[in-house]
Amino acid sequence: MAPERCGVALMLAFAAACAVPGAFAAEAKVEVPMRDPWVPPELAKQARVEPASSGAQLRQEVERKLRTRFEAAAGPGGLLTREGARAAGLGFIDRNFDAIDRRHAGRVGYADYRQFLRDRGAALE
Amino acid sequence: MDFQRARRALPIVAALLLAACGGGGGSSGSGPAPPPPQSQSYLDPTAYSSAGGASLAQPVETASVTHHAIAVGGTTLHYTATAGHLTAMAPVAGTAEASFFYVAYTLDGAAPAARPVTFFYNGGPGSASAWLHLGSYGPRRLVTGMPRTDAPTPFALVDNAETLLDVSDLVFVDAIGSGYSEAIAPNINRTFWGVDADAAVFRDFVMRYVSVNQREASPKFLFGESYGTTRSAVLSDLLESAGVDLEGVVLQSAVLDYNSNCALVARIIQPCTGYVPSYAATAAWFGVSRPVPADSALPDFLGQARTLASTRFDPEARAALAAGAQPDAALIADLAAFTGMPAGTWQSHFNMAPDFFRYNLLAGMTTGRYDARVTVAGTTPPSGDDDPSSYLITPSFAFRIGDYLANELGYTNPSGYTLLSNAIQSWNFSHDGRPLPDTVPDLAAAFAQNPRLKLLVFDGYDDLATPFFTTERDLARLGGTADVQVRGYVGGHMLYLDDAARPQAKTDLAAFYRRARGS
Repeated sequence: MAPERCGVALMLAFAAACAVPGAFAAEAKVEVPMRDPWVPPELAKQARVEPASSGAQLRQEVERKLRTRFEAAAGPGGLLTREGARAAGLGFIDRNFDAIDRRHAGRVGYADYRQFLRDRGAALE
Repeated sequence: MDFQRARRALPIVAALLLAACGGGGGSSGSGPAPPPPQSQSYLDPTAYSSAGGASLAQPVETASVTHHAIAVGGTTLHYTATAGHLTAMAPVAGTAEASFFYVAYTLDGAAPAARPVTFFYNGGPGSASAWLHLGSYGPRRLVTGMPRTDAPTPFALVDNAETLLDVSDLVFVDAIGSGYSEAIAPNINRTFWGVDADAAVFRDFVMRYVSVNQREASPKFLFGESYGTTRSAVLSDLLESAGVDLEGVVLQSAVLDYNSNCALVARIIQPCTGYVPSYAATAAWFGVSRPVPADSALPDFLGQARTLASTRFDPEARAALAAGAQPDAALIADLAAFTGMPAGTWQSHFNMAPDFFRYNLLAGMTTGRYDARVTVAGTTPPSGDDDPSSYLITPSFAFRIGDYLANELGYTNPSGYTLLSNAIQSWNFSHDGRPLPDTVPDLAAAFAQNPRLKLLVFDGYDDLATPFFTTERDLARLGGTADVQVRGYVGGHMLYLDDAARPQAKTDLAAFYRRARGS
């Protein structure tokens, strides 16, 4: 990578061919060469290549994400109210709260949420 | 001439200042089509910075509004373009996080509740959305002539017969630190230069756009390219969790798992299996594979290349990496036949990386990374960029975008538009405990929350940046329950630049939207 060099070259690319631009129509800046995807070499060396998850392992990984998010919002008690979901930005749970709260308890646990997702067709374990 | 048209300056009238409570588009979520807003140009006095430590003192939600018409497929599309800023707000707290620059194209006379809206962004990370904006399915596009390299420059800007505007409203949005998008203090641009922070602030932009324009009822789609597909995977999970239902996600040249791409991790730990069919496709294009398949035989040829890669190359490459085992001579011979690379070269460079392939396939030539069909003589990069399919088109995009915004969309700004920032050099790639992101679980989580979600994946066979077979293998991890369509075309990373591939992809896009809408 050669930061800055490319941008200078591009700035000049059409200077002669295209005079008199409209008001403030400045040339766009390019600060590094376009190389997507790319990671800095030192980071590429740190990568760990484990067997990629699929099947049951992937479903467990999904569940871990959903559970972590739920429990962070619910706090130590593990139960979430509609207001708690809303305050945590969990609009999906807020919107579907009545369906998740099948026992009409006003608060739901992760198991309730998980059951709701499964009933809708989610591929969870 | 289009160049002349682009020079037509719109009079500076006044800025459209959005009320803090919203109402920028003035459209009703469930009612009939609202009248289009009045045309207003905007001379934005703010100087935007792409520096990692930069931030704006305060948010300003202001936009230009212009009206246009283009002829598409025998009908005329009348549309409104809105170019300016919206503020991403932190969920719940509502504090201003970042000011996103966007250009929205909305079809006049359409009822917003039934009208899809699609959010487009490129990747990098650090790239603005100008590539998709001026190259793919917007109402205007640049004539690049790819993979030829003789199109007049700067590329002409023309009406786009393949615009998606006949199907969906389009919002092209620039990542923080690119385009004219910038963090708002106390945040700095670098606050959002990471996999998770970037996706979260994009979520907050989408929610702001939806709220301001009252598009809650509109079917919503994401269209990301390259790193933008990494972003889409994380973003789709975050949006679903936040209660924003998506109908569909389009992945253009996907990189879902950085760890599965041998060009992104040390090759001593990852076989380049996913690249082998792309090498075969490239060799077929140049007529150096054996056999050289006719166009009609290409799918079968690539099917055989996939089988060669997964059932024979992959296990031998793993054995070679683990224990230095020598590859089988018959395998070497078949690799040479499919890829046009001599057997001796495969013998000495068995786990062949894409850059090596690009420099050695054709004697005295370098082939492109984004589009391997693009060649230049020699191997010396002219400006630190060794990809002719990138550096031959970048100046035209860099030239056209600011000009287009100013002279067609009435948005002018004293600072330069940042086509590509240096965010990639300090990007926080870590995600869910891995140093490099694997976002297949994020996609799977989005499907878990919304089993109706549909995924359309576009691959270019001649793309040596995000090889199609790697993407197919990554997506296979989702299993059979996820609704995933994969479409491959002869073309590169930006296959929409190709005049043959773009109409095919547009047809597939329109069918995808119809299916996602259940019609």
